[in-house]
Amino acid sequence: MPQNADPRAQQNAMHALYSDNHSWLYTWIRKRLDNQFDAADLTQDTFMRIHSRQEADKIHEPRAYLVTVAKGIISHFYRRKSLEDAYLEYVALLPDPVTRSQEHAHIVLQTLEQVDTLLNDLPHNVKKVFLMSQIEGKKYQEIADEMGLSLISIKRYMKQAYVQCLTLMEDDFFE
Amino acid sequence: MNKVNTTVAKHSLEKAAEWLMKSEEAPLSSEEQAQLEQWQAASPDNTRAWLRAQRLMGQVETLPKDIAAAVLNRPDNEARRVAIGKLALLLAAGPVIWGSYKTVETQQWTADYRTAKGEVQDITLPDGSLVKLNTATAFDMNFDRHSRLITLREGEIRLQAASVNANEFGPLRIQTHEGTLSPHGSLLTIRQCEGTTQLAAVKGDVHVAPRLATATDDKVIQSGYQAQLSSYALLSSQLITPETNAWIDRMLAANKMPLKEFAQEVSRYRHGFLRVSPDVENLMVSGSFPTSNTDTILTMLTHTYPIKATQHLGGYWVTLEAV
Repeated sequence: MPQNADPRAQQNAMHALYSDNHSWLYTWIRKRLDNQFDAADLTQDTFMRIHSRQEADKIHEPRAYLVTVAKGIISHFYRRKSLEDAYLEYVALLPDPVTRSQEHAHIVLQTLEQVDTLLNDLPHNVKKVFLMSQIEGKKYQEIADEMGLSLISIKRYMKQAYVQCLTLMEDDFFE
Repeated sequence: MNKVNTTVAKHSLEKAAEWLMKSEEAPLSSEEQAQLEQWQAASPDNTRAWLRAQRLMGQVETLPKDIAAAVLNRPDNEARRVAIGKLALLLAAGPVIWGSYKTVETQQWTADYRTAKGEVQDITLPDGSLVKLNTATAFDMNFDRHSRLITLREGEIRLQAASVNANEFGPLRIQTHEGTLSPHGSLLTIRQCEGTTQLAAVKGDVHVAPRLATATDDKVIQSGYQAQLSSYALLSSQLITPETNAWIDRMLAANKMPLKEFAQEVSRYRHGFLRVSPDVENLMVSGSFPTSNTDTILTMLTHTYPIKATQHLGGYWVTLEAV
């Protein structure tokens, strides 16, 4: 939290924002999801996000602001669902899905989501190169040959991907 | 939330990236290793950048290659929808359900489940229903051909009822200290409080029978409503508020909750004593707080409200009082 935020002003603004808006926001989100339960969760997430930013007292257009934040949260929600879907489709093809323990599956899925978030905004080719290197374990030269690109380009992509990941990681990311 | 110094100088991050790439191309010589050591100790930003780099590598290494390639390379399509709960079903299709099927000859399943303070757990029952246990929760399960009974001893659960073949499984009921709940729908949450039961009929109606009331006093809680129940009667019911089930996402949500009550909620997730000084016990608290770290909750409180948290016994005893 920024230290210059006036706690009392924050508190009053958050009170007002929450009580004036949570009802319509819940309805708004509900219309965009097929599940009331998730809608309630995402409504909470929206206020949580604003609370953590400590910006409640600087909002002039609450509806527009809340909708903007909520859209980001819904988009993230669907992104996570699509990841889970891909995960499920893959795991369903495994000969013996039972051998993977539940706890292990949760940890893997969580790490996948985190890595996915880090790579989310990278250009397609950059992400592809990064995954070939890190997941498939290919050498830079092999990737260059396979993709018909110069070694210099591959290195530039790798650096771009690494810098993006390291930039987006909070100090306690993955904990 | 509540993070300080989240940005690391860009040139430190770039240098860390270069070190990662260098080490991937060829093992670092001892001279290069010494250079790396020197670089990362040269500034706090370098140190943090390198810590992030190591953590990133450590995590990527833990991923099973086959799954990671399939999942991370999936086509982008954010609008692709997934049936809610499908994932949980699959994840839970591990040891629990297979263990239970082994006893299918006896046509009876019994088990006790429990979570410790601060722990959350997902369970799949033999009929395919899913239960999420919140902190400090215990329930027993007795299923047979004629009935499926869940007895909530303490704490809070979310029950996602599977649709089952009526020949194979009897009707589903949840028993608490105060009475018996029969869900007609698929999703509800139940909390055993001191002297009352709280329930939220998230999806589908719930038939409620207080333990000491006559059958004519039975009530139906409609889908979308939450209610409070004593052993004698239904005490109250209202539309489900967003705060009620924030715990599913490991959040504690408050809307103008007195600090004293808020501290009691926090205590469900926290070891030790959390005391509230009388001069601030009626302070109204609003917001969402992460239950996975109650220290963070206390920090958020002291940043937002005119209170301080005084710690004794190494944090085991905490008093909230006016600044």
